[in-house]
Amino acid sequence: MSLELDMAKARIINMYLGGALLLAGGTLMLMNNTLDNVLWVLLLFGLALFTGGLFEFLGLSKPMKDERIAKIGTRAMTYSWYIVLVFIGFMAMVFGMGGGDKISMPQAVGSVLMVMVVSTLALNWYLGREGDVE
Amino acid sequence: MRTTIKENRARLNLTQEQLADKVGVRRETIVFLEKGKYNPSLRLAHDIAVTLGVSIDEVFFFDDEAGR
Repeated sequence: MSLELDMAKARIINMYLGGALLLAGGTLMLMNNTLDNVLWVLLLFGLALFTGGLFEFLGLSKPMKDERIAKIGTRAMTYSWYIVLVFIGFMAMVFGMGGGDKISMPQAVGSVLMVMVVSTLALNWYLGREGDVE
Repeated sequence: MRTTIKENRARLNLTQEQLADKVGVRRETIVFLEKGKYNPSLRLAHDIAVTLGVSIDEVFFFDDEAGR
């Protein structure tokens, strides 16, 4: 059981590492307007790490299962999804209509990746400060 | 919300970690429960009361009950 717990904690640490890789990849895609092979591998690795520990982080799977963490985590994910939806809609409005400014695929994907990771972690921290969500 | 978890824990010589293990939550959740900042599910409230050997209404009090 202790080994299982240690593994779960290691996956949560890896999740933060994966989030950092996704953020770095997203920033590079946004700044350099590219998605080359090296960056693609970086994103794949980051995604594997991030998703690999997400359910433990959210308190949804054993042995880290916890109803309070899960309650806060699912609320944070709901808000995060909403923010991403609004962000994508906003991008569609700004870059899709009017024909003025344009955004490339790597820039669009990179910015969405960043918003997803940052909003998930930030909202989870913000909502968790008081210990509960109503 | 107020709780008597801390007092009951002390009576049984249980640490927050031990109580958390027995009821299947993380220690931080016990901390927030003791501070009255987390409103637990009926299942968790029941498990805590059983572990502490008291009834639910001896562990959890809502503020509007205090003046009654």
